[in-house]
Amino acid sequence: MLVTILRRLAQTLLVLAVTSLLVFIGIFMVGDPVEMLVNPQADQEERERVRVEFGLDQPMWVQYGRFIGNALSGDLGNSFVYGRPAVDVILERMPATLELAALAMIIAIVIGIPLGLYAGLKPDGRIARGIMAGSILGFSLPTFWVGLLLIMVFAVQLGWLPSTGRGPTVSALGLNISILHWDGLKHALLPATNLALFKLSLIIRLTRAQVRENVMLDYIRFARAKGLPTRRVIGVHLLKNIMIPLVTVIGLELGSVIAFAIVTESIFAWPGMGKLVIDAIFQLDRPVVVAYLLITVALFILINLVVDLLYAVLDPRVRLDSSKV
Amino acid sequence: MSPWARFRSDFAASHLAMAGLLMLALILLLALVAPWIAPQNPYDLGKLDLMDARLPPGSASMDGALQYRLGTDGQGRDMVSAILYGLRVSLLVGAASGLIAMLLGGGLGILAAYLGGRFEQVLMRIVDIQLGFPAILVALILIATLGKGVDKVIIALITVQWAYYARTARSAALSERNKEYMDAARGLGLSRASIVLRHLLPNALPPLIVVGTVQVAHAIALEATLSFLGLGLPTTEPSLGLLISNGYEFMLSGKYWISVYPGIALLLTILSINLVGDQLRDVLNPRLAR
Repeated sequence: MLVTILRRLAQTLLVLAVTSLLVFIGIFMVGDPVEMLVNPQADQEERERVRVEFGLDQPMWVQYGRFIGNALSGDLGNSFVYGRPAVDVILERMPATLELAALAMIIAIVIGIPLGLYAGLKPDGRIARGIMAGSILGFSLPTFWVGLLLIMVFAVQLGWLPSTGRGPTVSALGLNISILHWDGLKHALLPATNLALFKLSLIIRLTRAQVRENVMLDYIRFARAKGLPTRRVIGVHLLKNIMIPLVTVIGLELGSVIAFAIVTESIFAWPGMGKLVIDAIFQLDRPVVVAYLLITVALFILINLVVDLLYAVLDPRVRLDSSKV
Repeated sequence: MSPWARFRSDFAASHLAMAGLLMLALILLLALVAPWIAPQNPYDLGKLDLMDARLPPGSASMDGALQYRLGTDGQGRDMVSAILYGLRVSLLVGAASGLIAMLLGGGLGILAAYLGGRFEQVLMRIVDIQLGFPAILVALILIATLGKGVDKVIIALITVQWAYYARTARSAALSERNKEYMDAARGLGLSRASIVLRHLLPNALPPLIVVGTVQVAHAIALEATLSFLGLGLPTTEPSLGLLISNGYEFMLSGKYWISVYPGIALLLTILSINLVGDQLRDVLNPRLAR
């Protein structure tokens, strides 16, 4: 187990280093960063001063070394637009994104698992076919377009829910959370639904596939033969066994929800870090783009690691395997 | 029954899949003949009349020469024409990136299975790591570092997709490698290239085709998403995603048609590909073989 963790950590560092190199080469080497840093009217002398001040006159590997050194101490440069450390700007916006992602995931799970269970238990029924057709539709709907439709129907025509922004927040555990506030929740509902749609389809299909595989297995037939009530067979025996792959996938998908929030946040003007990075790309605010990419990649690797470990905890077979390695 | 006939009858067993296939054929045909059937050339800015901008569906143009069945966009473009041309762009980008990714990823995957050893280990590790990240993030990293442009979007789409093909091709090739016909081919003393290209590849192809259909749908959706975010294709030849994006600003004032109709075209395209892909997966899956 310890070996597995250590190996994963080493791999993690490698991935971070490669990503940072890629991002560094891409962002810092393409084009002239000096153009970004100085006033367009600045004369040659001023440009040279900035070049030396930011170390841009040094060879590339020195610059990369300095970039890494600073990055390790949590300094990814100041945002050109906000004039504050880029990391701070990102971290400030992170709770809004995480909140949106969590709400979307909850919606997908709460609706998806029961529908998937039903479709798996009665695969040939009319309703089950309808659920499956709906899930293909859910896969095919372009997320951003659905977002527009949601705004058009629920915000513009019906006027039930606000179309953009985050609304008021409630401070809890040192974070500003809007879903604890009624008006805030109303603001979060449309974007979270939009974000949840794709994952909902995924969870339905996954649950159904798991159920169909498991109901044929001996342990379910044994439980039925013992005369246990159907409710218990499904609710305890079946559910427990299909949970392992579900938890894994849901965990991994949490990361992808955070990434896809870029799109949803842009549509609904949700002030999270996804909206921030899109704005930063357009404003050529390089430090913020770099900080976003590195922080997100790190977040991702962390999520993957936790899911892997969780998987080992949940499934004894994996635990046994890894101890043999 | 020949394998091909059985494949056809298996595929046709699902009405939904047949409907998807029909729809896909129709969409491809429309995209193909767009220049001849579109009422106007939406790329020819000289032909567009700003007086005609944002007309609702069914209105006639100011000079009375044209009827805008689906309305016009902010620049006075006929939406029917814009959608037909946009369909071409979206399909072309999706298919081109899908094909290149399939050749690249599929080739590497089969090579990995055939060569094994260090090459296989390193390649599969890269695949695993890349697939741990969602497509949109990988595409965003690339576009943010490389910059915008058609070539960059295609590079991003290939980078996002190749790993799926590599993984599928490798596992397909691995399961084929030890079958009897491969032993026979080796026993006949055929060259390595001939074994891989003429014997291994054709048999490893079905799963690649299944992944391919799904991936083309993903690529089209991802390109549309990037274009919507303003990070995709240039505005001179708008894809469906960009058309939707252009209509976004008019949406709140109730001018729905600029975004809604291109969105429906995009949805039908992706849906038809997914319906076909879903059935292909069932038909070509050896585990469900009848």
